[in-house]
Parts: sequence; structure tokens; C-alpha cells
Amino acid sequence: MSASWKQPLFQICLLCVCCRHINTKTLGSTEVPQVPNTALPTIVRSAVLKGENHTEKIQLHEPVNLTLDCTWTGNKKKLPNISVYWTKDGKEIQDTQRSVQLENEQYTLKQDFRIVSEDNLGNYSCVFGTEAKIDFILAVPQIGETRDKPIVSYLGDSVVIYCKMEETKPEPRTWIWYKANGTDKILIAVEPQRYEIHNEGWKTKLKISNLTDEDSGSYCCGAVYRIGTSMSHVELKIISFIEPLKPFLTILAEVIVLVTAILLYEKIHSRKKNTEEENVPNAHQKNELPQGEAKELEGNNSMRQRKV
Amino acid sequence: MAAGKQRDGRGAPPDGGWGWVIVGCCFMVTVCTRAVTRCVSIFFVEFQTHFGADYAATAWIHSLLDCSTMLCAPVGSLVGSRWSCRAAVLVGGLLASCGLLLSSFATSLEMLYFSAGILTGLGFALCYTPAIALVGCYFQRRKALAYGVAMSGSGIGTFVLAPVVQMLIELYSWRGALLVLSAFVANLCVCGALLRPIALQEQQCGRCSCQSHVHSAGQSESDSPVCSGAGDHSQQDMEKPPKDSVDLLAPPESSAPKLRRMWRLLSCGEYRFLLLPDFLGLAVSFLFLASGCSLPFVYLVPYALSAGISHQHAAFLMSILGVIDIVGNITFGWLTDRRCLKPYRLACYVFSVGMEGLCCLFTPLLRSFPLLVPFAVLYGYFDGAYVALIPVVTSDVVGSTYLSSALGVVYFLHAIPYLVSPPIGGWLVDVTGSYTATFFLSGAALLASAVILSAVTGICRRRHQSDSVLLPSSENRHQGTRAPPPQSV
Repeated sequence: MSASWKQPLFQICLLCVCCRHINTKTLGSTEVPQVPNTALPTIVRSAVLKGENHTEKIQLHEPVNLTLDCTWTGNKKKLPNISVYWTKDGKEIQDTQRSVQLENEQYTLKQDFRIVSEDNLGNYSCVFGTEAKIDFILAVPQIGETRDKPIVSYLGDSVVIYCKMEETKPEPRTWIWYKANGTDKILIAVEPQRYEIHNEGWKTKLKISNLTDEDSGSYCCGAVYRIGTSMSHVELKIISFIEPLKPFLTILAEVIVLVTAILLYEKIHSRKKNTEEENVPNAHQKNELPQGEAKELEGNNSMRQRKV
Repeated sequence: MAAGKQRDGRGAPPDGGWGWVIVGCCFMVTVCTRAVTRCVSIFFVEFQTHFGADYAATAWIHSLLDCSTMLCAPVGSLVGSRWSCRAAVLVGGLLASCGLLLSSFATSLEMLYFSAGILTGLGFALCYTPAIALVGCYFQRRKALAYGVAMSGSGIGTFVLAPVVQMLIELYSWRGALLVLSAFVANLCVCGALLRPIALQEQQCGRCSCQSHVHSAGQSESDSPVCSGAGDHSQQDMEKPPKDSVDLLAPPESSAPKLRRMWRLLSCGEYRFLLLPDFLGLAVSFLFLASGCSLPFVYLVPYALSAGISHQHAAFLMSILGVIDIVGNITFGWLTDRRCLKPYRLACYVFSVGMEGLCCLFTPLLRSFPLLVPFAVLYGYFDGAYVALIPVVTSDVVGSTYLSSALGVVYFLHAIPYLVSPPIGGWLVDVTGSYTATFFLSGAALLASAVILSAVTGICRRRHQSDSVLLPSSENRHQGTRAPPPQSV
């Protein structure tokens, strides 16, 4: 009878071990998701090097299987074998070193890369021994039009900052805004009466209301793609209303001074002329002019003064 | 009274002296009005960003400003005649400055329409016509040169103000820039203070050139009383009111129809020149001129871009246009003052407008930068030429007395075509898909203007010649012909 409970116990133990094994297997599979290779599009980029260095820029906006094809026409040495390897951002990629034969007066090398995240972007180079190098710069589409002069606005006023991606480049999935605080970036969230963000395809607009002195600084807009984000900076400068008031008041003071001076001068000048004219005709015409006309002349003079 | 005035010795236009100060003031007035109007378009990008509007909505500001400057020109000339040029320009400068000051605090695009469009435009209108009219009173012999220098203000002003306004926007944003610009426009008050009124001799008050009208008005020598209250702003204003205007001032008869009263106002008042066939022909030709002349300025750059010329080259074309405009102003003014050309001033004006029209007609054939440069040079030169000659030709036709009111009417006639023709040109571009139709329209309008003016002048002159044969010789001497009176040469 003692052997009877040993067997089910043993079976239960076996079952538990098996289950645990199965469990860990399933757990393991969820921890390392395998993206099926067939879901990614494949792009081939090739470059031919005739000298010593060449740079090729590749713009990517979504995950791809990238095949890079390097061709080198060789140099004077024309070695039959040359060892080549790939580097990413200056560091050699493991398991990429191989030896290439000289065929048809050139060396050809191909390598596949899976570009799925922002870490995969960068500067890939195929290095031919110590002689030659072709650089492939993989990047998200860059925002072309950046405003190099700061946007100026006033305390208490509102300001609108624009970012625009060229429509020849792929449309960003969305846009995000950051405020640069030293080396950190703080994400700007929509707040009523303060921050408003409008995204429209290739354009984005950040409206900041009730500006204060702390709002001045550098703002970054980011065009978000599936593979990464492309950033651009805009500088915002907040000034008080006194700044433009200074030239305004200077010019206004000059205008008032000049106008008063000129009008005073003209008044004195015309009064002098009137007294001269009154004296001259009165001297000559005391006996000649009839009373009425003399009165008229004086009347005219006084009216003239009134007009000026 | 006439005897007393001659003893004053203030008869002839000085043709110099304080006249050059007046020319300088008119130059500043043109800078502050026309150049500032053109520079307002630099603010459009800022307005679009700040108010979230599109280009068409912001372009209305410029159209409103231009249109109200021209539409209110008669108001300006009326104020200049009734009171004085000085008062008109002072008030105008204040209004324009206030308008721009209000705009710098604008919270919506509609407020900008009112303050920067209508208010500022009214202020500019009060300044523009009186200043130009006063230059005509101060010059006789060198009138065209004086006008050339005075009108070159718009070209030189645009050239200088455009980068300054751009720099102001970068330093202070559009609000601060408008604030500083309003202080700059306040300099119109300084110019206004310098506009000293002048008294002119009766004979120089100018006569109706078409003799038939002189007879129908029933006055020949006694034209002079009508000079009172018109463009001279002199002591003539203070003379005893003439018989005709006494009739006007008398309480209107209850049975007199409104039409008869208006006719009396027209035929005997300040606006009697409106009935001159010469002036009517001139007015119709100005309508066509204004319809055609603004289109090339608006559509040259888009046309050049569509023909494959780069942005920088297209901007360079506009700069060439602007600079040669200034050259045309001054040199053509100087040229038409030469003794040999002075009798043919109207012909020179017709020639320059005709040449502009021809240039426009040939434009659709010019599809590269080296070909468009001569077009820009020629068009710019003749554009400057006719702009300098408009006040001269007007004063030749109506005389110095009515110059202020006539200029008011002339610029009023410019208003609606300026407002309407760029959108029509744009509609033509949209409908036909190319700029050919727009340039043809512009060229045709300019040529029509030249043809109408030469036709009307020819007919009037022929009628004048046939009438002068019938008249006794003594009255011939007193007719104001197109040839200048002997003393002015």
C-alpha cells in the first residue's frame, strides 16, 4: 500500500515540473516578441566609391529592412583580397568582418540591417581595410525651414509659434512640443488659457497666452514618425512694452518740438510782414485811399493772421 | 483790390526759394504716405501668424488703406481749399499717426481694417492732395522738375523704409514696429507746419482752356472772383465774395429744383472745371490708366516665378523697377521742363503712358530673366515719368486755381480701379491659367488711356482753333492755351 501514494506523488511532481516548464516557455515567448520579418518593407540603397570617402544620406520615416550595397573601384594597389567590416557611429558592428575578392575591377559588399527604432538610426559605414570608407547617414526627415531670428513678444500678450515640415517629405504622425530648460526638455501639455497646440498634417502651431518673463527661452517642436522624432528649435524673447516706447517717445518729442518751433517762427514772420505792409501802404496812401479801402486792407491783415 | 495786390509784389510763383522747402515737404509727405502704404504689406506674414488668417484676409488691409487714401482725396483737397494746406496736413498727420497707434494695440483683424485701413487712409488723404497742390502753386517754370522730385518720395521711401520696417519687426515684433511707425508718420505734422500759404496773381489763376466753356459761363475777365475759395489758400480767400457765390449763399428758393442748384454749383463754384471737355477726357483716361497700371506691379513676381525665374532674380526685378521709377520721376520731370519740350508736355505724358502699355503687351513673350530686365527698366522708367507728370498735366488743363480740387477728383478716380483691378487680374490668371490675359488687359487699358487722351485733346484743340478764327483778336490774347503764357517761359 505504501508504493501506491508514491506513484501519484511522483506523477504530480512530474506534472508540476512540466507545467512550470511550459509556463516559463510561454512567459519567455511574451517577453521577447518576434516581429515577423515579412511585415517590414525592404529598401536597397547602394553607393559607388571612386575616391577615398563618400557620404550618402538616407531619409527614413518607418521601420524597414535596409540593404546597403557598397561598391569600391579600388585604388592603385589593386589587392586581390581586402577585409571589410561595417561600423555604426564609429564602433565596429560585431560579426560583419569578411574578406572580399576583386571582381571586374571592383569590390562589392552587401549587408542587411533591420531599422525599427530610433537607436537603429545613425551613421553606418562600410570600411574597406584601411583605405576607403562609404558613409550612410540614416535619419528621420529634417525640418527644413527654421527661423533663425528669435520671435519677440510682450508681457501679458499671446504668441503663436509655427513649425512646418516640407510637404515633399512624408507627413508626420503627430507633433510634440518641448520647452528647453538648460539641457533638459520639458514636454508642453495643453492647458486652457495658457498653452494651445494645433496639429494639421505638415504644420503645427503652439499658442502661448498670458506671457511672463519665464516663458522666454528655446522651444523645440518635434515631428513624430514611427521610427523617430525630428526636432527643430525656435527662440522666444519676451520684452516689456517700454522697449519700443523709447524710440516712439523720442521721435514724438522731436516732432512736437519742431512743429511748435516752426509754427511760432511762422507766426512771428507773418506778423512782421503784416506790420511792414501796414506801414508801407499807410505811409504812401494815407491821402490816396478812401476810408473804406484802408479799413478793408486792415481787415484783411487781421483775418490773415487769424488764418495762420 | 487788384491794384493793392500787385503792390504787394507777391504776384508770380517764386519758382525757388521757399518753393524748394515745399518740395522737400511734399517729398516727405509722399514718403510717409505712399511708401508707408507699400510697407504695410511687410506686416502681412506677422498678421497671418498672429491672427490665424489667410493671405486674402490680410491683403484687405492694404487695399483698404490704398482705397481710402484715394477715395478721400477730394475731402483732402476741400479741406485744403477751405482752410489751408497747413491745417489739412497737420490734421491728416495726426489722424494717420493715431490710426497706426491704434493698430499697434489691435486685438483682431477687423480692428486692423478700421484703424490701419480706414483711419490711417483718411489721414493720408488729408495730407497727400493739399501738399501736391501747393507745389503747383509755388512753381511755374520748373513745375515738372519740382513734381518729379516731390513724387520720387514714394520710390526712395519704399527703398529705405522696407529694410527699416523689417528690422523694426525683428526687434520689437509687429506691435512695436507699428508703434514706431506711427511716430515716424507723425512727421507729417512737421511737413504740414512748413507749408506756408502763398498768394498768387489773378492772371496766373489759370483759365479754362476750352474757349467755348468760357463763353457759356458768361465770364471772361471776371473769372478772377471765382478764384476765391479755390486752391490758392491766400488772401484771395478773404476778398469780398463774388456775385455768383453770393447767389449760392443766398437762401435757396423753395421752388428751385436740386438739379439746377447742383448745376450752378458746378458751373460757378470750385468744381466748374469738371465741365471742361478737356478735363472730362483727362478723367476718363485716368480711369483706364489706374485700371492698367497697378497690375504689372502685383503680378510681375508671380509671372517671373511661373516662367522659371528664381526667387532672388524675381525680387531683383522688383528692385530694378523701384529704382528706375525714381530715376524716371526726376529725369522726366527735368526733361519736360526744357523749353523745347514744355509746349508738348501733354504729348510727352501720352507717349510715356503709351510706351508702358506697349511694354505690358510684349511681356508674355519674355520668359527669361535677361529678357525681363529691359522690360523692368522700361516699365519702371515710364511709370516714374507719368506719375511725375499727372499733377503737371492736370494743372496745365485746369490751371493753378483749381489744381487742388482737380487733384482731389483725379486721385478719387484712381481709387476704385486700384481696388478692383488686382482681383480681376487674379481671376483672369485663375480662369486662363496663365498671366498673358492679365498683362494684355493692363497693356490694353494703358493704351486706351493714351488714345482717349490724345483724341480728346486733338478734338478740343481743333475746336479751339476754329473758334479762335471767329473771335476778335483782342480776346485771343487772354485765352489760356496749351502753350504757356509768355512770362512763364
